[in-house]
Amino acid sequence: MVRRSISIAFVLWVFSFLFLYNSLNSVTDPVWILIFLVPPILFLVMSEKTTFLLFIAFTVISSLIILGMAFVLKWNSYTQLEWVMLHALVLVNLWSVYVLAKWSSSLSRDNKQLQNRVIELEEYIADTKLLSKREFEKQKEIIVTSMDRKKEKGFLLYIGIEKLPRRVKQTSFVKVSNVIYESVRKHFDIVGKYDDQVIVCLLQNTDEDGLAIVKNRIISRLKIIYTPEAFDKLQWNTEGIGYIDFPASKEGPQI
Amino acid sequence: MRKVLISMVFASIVIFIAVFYDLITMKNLLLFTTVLFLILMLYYTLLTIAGLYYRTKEHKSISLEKYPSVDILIPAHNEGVVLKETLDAMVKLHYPGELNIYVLNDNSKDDTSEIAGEYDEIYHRVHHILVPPGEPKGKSRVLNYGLQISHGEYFCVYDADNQPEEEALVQLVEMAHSYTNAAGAVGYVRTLNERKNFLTRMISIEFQVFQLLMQAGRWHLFRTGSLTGTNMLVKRKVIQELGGYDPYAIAEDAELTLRITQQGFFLPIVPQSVTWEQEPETIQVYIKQRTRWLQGNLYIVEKTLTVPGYFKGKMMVHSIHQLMVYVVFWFFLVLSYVWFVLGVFDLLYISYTIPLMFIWYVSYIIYTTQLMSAQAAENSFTPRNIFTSFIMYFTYAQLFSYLFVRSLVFYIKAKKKQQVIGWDKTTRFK
Repeated sequence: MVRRSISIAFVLWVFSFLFLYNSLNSVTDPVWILIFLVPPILFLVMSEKTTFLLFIAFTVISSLIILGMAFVLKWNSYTQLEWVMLHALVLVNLWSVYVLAKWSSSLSRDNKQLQNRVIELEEYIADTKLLSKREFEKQKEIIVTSMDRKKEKGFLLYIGIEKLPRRVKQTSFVKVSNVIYESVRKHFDIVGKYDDQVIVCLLQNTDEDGLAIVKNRIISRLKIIYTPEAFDKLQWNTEGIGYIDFPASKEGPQI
Repeated sequence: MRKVLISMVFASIVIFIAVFYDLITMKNLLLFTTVLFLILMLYYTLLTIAGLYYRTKEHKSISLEKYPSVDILIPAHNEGVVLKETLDAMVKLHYPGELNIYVLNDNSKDDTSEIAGEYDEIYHRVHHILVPPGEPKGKSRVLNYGLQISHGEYFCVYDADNQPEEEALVQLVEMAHSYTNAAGAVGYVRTLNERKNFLTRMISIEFQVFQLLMQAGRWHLFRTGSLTGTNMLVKRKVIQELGGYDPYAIAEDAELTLRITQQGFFLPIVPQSVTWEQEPETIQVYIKQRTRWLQGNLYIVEKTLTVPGYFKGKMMVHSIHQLMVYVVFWFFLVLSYVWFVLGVFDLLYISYTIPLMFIWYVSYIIYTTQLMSAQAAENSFTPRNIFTSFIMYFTYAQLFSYLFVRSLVFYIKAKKKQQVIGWDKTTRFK
């Protein structure tokens, strides 16, 4: 629907511009006609409110100025008709550009909103077995409450890839996620995205020994993938959860 | 009304004689009407810009320590088709204070009683009230009865086909409370069935323009608003001082607005308080509804011209508006039609050079700009709405003349026979 509307507006804009060019070419320098290419830029750059107010002001003031000219110069019907057509053509041109700019920006705004909504609703992060932040937090809350009730303890293990070079971050995120997922108890522990550069894993009903076993498993698998220099750049942090509170950050990983 | 008509006929005769004996030249008369017309256009352009500014600026949210008690009054006469949806929306309203919803059942013969009764049994807040029969028939009498049986600090009126948004009422109350001299507050009415057909689309655009110009623009410039008949909140104390609704007023909202303004109170406009309303889907229903509205406005014009005090202070904004639209504008409109017809049959030829064609073009541009501005403020631009806006001047707007003549004839007939003008209920659609 919007695509069709944009196409119609675009065709209107092109045709009205060509008509204007053709009509004004004989009476003014073609460079002046190129001024009609400025509004599209303004409409895209300026805020919607300012653009519209300017547009309305232009529409009304220009028509009143021409009306004043018609009074002063005592235009006959033919001259009036010529100016009506010219002014209408300019307005069609401006309207189509305004509508194009407005719809394009609303499309991009809607798209961004939808993307955010999809991210919010996604259970898993694409290409990984990682739970989305929202889903991880939801499941974590249930598990921690249950652990408290059963007097169990557990850990949150954070692994950060922040210090890795920018170009390899995307692949590293997937790799590290998969290694963690393969190293934990699949139907018991959960792995999720903490943020764009940190992966978090919840180990339930386990002690320090259990944590060390999982950690070693992850380290040995990561060492197969990464060079020692790259491996040293990975950041680790743990936080105790469940029945007994461990001294660790409550706001997130201190990586 | 007869006085108004006699005055207009007298004015026309005087003008004709003056022109005939060269006391006023035709050119000067033309110039005078043109200037008057241009002033009208400039006034509406100013309102458009002010309205756009007010509608698009950010409004601070206000929170009250204690929310006053509010009674919602819903006059209902054979509203079975729409009442369930209305009551569903009513029970969903979020209001932190005491709230009572009264369905004022005005002798309905359909399933209105059954539906209202069911909600009354289930929800504490909903009360089904049977309004005793009486004269004159109409919304004003029903609302007066509603005011008698309720006790809230404020009352809020919703038509029986309205579906207010959850925060609509609380926003009205917060705004009414934030101005010491406010008699209440007025919200926004949007069209529920806009996409049904071209007529509903045009009504929707017209409503958007009304909200933008008459409400937002006038409130921003002159600090005066108009009651809309629905989604409107009024302090009980104010209406008690005014002696309730005028039971003979058909446009009871416009009539009450004038009396409230006359008392020095004002009505803040709250664009973010939205109710969704069903509009006529057929031309027959539309003509019937608008004839009633116009008759109501003629009643107000008559009051404006015959009752003293209608041209003082802020009342002047409303009174001048009424006269401009329903007397001056219509007079020149009819004059232009007569002129056009005489010109077509070569009975009248004027050789003075006044750019009438361009004046017509400017009025078309300003009218269409208002429609577009309303859509920009509402973010309701669609290809169909834009197309509708371009043709509205030639279609929907032209209906005004027909409706006005129809209403005027009915009004004069009723006056002549000393009849009370009946209150026609607008047909609802499922």
